[in-house]
Amino acid sequence: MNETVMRFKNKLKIREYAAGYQLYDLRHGKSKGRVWKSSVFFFIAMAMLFILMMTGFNAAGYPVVTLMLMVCMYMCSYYVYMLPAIAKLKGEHIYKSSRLLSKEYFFEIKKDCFIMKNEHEYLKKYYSGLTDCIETDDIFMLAGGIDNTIIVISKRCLSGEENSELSAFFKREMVKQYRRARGRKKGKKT
Amino acid sequence: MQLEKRSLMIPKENKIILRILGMIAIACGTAAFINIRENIYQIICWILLIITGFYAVSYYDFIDAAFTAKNAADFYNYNEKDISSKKIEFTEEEFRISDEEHRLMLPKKFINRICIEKKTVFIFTDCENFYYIPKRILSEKQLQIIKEFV
Repeated sequence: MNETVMRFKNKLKIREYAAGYQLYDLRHGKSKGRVWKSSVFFFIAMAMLFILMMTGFNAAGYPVVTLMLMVCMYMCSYYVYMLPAIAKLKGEHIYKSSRLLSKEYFFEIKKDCFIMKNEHEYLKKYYSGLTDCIETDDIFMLAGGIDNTIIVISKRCLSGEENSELSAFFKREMVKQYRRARGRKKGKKT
Repeated sequence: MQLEKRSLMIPKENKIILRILGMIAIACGTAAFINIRENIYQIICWILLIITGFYAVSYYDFIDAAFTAKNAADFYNYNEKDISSKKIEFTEEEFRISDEEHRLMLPKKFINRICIEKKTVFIFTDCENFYYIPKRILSEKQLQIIKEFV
């Protein structure tokens, strides 16, 4: 029997959706594989730096090497710092351009699926159809399905007890998909 | 559909800038290849510059388009069983789309934009997410209703 585990209301803020979108982008979007991509550029940059060092840092005499060093450094910083920031900005842009995302949703968490609904939308998703369930300090990000739907649940709207209950439930029901993202550094505010 | 979506989502300025940069690279590379050939190292650099130029010029029209088409075909083949039919309705005030697990009732003001392309009609709910209707399943009258809805 598919009984209801939890019921709650949820309303997203722009930063929460942006954080969710950023997480999705890191897993499936342009930021996917950014670590190994930036590593490749880093090693090329180091090789170019080594060549320049061998020539006594004669940058004017070896313009191609210098140019490659600069491009690789840029690409390295692009993958490490700029892409996640761009993803976050895009998330904010999506939130601003959508009138639906800022509406309050009523969530019904069941044993094998969850339902989210309001006056404009009704969505039922089975956990087996999801590819990701990522928990951070502020949100739960659920993603998957044929249309790659991103569902963000804000922890702000839940009590501490509900949060831990939901976290334990997702951990239990979505063993493969569940991940706990690292928390923020102490004293760092977003 | 994916190709039309791609052409909708990529800003025209990006295409123009990349083409201009590519053309500059080809022109500079060719000029340098003809005039400056002191050693093999330089020749390789100029050839690489010309190849990069050609890559940049043809990126959006051929390379990216081919990858998009291939990815779309792979996606369709992989998910063919899961693609379900949807019921789409346009009323005077609302756009409705529904299947077994999803129902959406959007008032006119909730729709970000509607783009009618050659083969597909795109209904954007925000700047990124959209629903699409293949034009082949629409009659002239239905298409007219959508145009009036816009």
